[in-house]
Amino acid sequence: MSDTLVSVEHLTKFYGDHLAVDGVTFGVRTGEMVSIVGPSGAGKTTALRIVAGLLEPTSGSVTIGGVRVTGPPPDVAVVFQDYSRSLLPWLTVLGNVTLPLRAKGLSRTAARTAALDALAAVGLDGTARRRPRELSGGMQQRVAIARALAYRPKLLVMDEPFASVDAQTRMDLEDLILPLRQEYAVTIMLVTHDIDEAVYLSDRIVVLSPAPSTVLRVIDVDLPLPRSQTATKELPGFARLRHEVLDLVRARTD
Amino acid sequence: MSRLTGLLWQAILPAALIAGYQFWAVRAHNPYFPPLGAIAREFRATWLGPGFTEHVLPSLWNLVRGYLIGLLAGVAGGVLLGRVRVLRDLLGPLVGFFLTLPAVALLPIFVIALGIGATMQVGVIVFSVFFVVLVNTTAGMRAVDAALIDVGRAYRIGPLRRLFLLLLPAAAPYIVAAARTALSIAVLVMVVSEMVGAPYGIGAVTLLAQQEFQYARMWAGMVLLALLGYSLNAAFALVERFTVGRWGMVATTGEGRS
Ligand SMILES: Nc1ncnc2c1ncn2[C@@H]1O[C@H](COP(=O)(O)OP(=O)(O)OP(=O)(O)O)[C@@H](O)[C@H]1O
Ligand SMILES: [Mg+2]
Repeated sequence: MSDTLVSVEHLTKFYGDHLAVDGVTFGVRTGEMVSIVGPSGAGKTTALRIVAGLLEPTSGSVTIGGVRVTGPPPDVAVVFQDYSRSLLPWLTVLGNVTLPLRAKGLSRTAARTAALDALAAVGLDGTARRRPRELSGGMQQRVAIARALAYRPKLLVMDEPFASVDAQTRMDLEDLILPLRQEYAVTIMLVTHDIDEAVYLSDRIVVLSPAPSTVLRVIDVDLPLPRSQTATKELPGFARLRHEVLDLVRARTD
Repeated sequence: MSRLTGLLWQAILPAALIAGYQFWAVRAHNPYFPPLGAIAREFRATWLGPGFTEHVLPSLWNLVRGYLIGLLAGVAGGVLLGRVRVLRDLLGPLVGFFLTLPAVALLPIFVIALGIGATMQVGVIVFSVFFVVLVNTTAGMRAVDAALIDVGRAYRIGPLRRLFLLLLPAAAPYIVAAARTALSIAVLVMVVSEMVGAPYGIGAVTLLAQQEFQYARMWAGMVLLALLGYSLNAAFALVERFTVGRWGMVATTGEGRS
């Protein structure tokens, strides 16, 4: 299980003549959860959108499962930062989750079954007929996660998925994601600027410098599994890793 | 209860106006302003007898045809203009020009091109509806949140689903607002188009009544048009409530014209 699923090579992105990403190289192994951290404006979203095929790099390349990314690949799902803008308010929760599945060619019943399973997996049974705006922010982000999981992607990319919910909901969502990784056998690339979150969730952390971003360091997280909000965060290893990442991020921002 | 009180409050001013008119009209004996009883009698005689099939139905049929054709063509054109940059750059100035041109002012040209009759009347209505809907649909398509476009692309939603389940609903506040504006414009244009030489229709009968000093009948025409405009608008409010309203979106006041 240690073969490379995603490889990002010498990725460079100019917006006009503003250099945002400057030769970023890293890889993600199958089954891994990798976090990308870096200060605000570092180019994290830019890198993630390029990986998801939503944006063209100026130079460099991304390959997923050996195939070079030229547009949104069929086996990649995205959870966007802003759940309130990424769900379709005119569709029900079920409609939101089934839309990509129907587009993928699943029959109505197959799409429905997969969607209901994913909704149950994120703890949203019984909300299928409701509309997104009738749900809380945390629940809406769960819908977005269910939509991504039901899609059965090989790679799930998430752009600060928990940034706009309260601290308690954030922990709930973090703990929701961990077991779902196994259940849905998915590789995850997560952008965050919460260092605790990165250390808590990840197998490895890619630390980016401020823009134009380069990879400062790739850190292995050797904390034991399964993780827990209380026990894991009290481990000396957790504090050490947190310290290491923080120093890297802070040193370059000042 | 409070809803009922609200309705009652809303009804006070119109009721007072009508009562005041009646009070004055029965005393004034002014031929231009007949009392309500006379207008009501003319209303029944003119619009509810054979006049219904002879005048009201043809008018409404022209209205419905012209409106729907203009609406569909406007939405279709707006989708194209909104999505295809080249078309927008190419046709933008022309569309802007036609939008500011009142359809009513073009009646003579329509009469020359299409003659007098239903084709001309429908044509003018189509024209008047088309540009309002076109411009606002284009604006609505341009205003679709980039986040939704990303969702559509990331999950590889195909063109048909993208159009009908993503882009059009997202642009719906603009389209619905424009459709509503266009409806009142269409009623206006329908009436005016019937006033140039048409042998039948609500506008023709109303104008003829005025020329023949049949003022009660003329007023009956106005009452019919007022009722028509009011109920169409009310019907539209319902459409809005069950679409954009239900989705928690706000209809964006469209760019109108007369
Ligand atoms: N569409 C764009 N056009 C021009 N410049 C852009 C565009 N998108 C991003 N940038 C610039 O590129 C740089 C990186 O932006 P990006 O959004 O990728 O950063 P980020 O790391 O995701 O930041 P944050 O943590 O605030 O989300 C920033 O300086 C930003 O101003
Ligand atoms: Mg970002």
